[in-house]
Amino acid sequence: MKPQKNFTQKAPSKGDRLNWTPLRDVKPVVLNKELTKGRRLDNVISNNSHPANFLVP
Amino acid sequence: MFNHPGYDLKFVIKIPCKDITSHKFTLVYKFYSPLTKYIYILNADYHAEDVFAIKFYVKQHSKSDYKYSKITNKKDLPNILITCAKVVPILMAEFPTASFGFAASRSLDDRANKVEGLPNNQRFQAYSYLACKKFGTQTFAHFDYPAISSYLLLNKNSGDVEKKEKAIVDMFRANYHTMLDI
Repeated sequence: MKPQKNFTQKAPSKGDRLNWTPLRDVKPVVLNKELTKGRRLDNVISNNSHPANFLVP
Repeated sequence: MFNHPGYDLKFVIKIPCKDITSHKFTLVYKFYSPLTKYIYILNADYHAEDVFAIKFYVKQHSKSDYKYSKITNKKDLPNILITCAKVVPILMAEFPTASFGFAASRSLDDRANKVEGLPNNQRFQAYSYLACKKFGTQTFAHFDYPAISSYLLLNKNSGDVEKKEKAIVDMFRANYHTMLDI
């Protein structure tokens, strides 16, 4: 008798693992003032980046 | 990360935009990754307020509604993103006062048919990390918008930075009332 194949279970995909939203439930996001409030990051960048690596200084 | 050389960008075509929005024209570029064996299309959409929106996708997904959201799982992300970033100095040669914005699409998992949330999504984290590492503060003021996973490199030669940022955001909001549902 042939040995039975060992079927391993397929790993859950990223969307399942991270509990993403089903495609059919996704709604457009209205761009209101609250969502488009920006943060200026210049200080963080000057401290953490190396000028030699810049494409534009 | 992101000390990769990237690939050569090739200019393809300039497409004028004739609708009533603030989108004036699109400059189309392409590049090839020998690692993924894909051709990538990069669109730089020029808008009123002297700002480009940078977008890219895999050419073979060009007919898909989800072309900006698909995951290829072929790696080579640093080279691909560096290549996209290289368009900024190229465009600045012709548009020296231009600013640059990008909105990171949420990822689509084809297998589970599920979509990532919009705020602070995984593409946004990679793109904003790259922007910090590759663009200094001498030319650009950096703004991020984590709630909509977007980023703005605002050219400091375009006048008052705070006023210009508001004008650009208002222009985008007036033209694009919603973020794409995906």
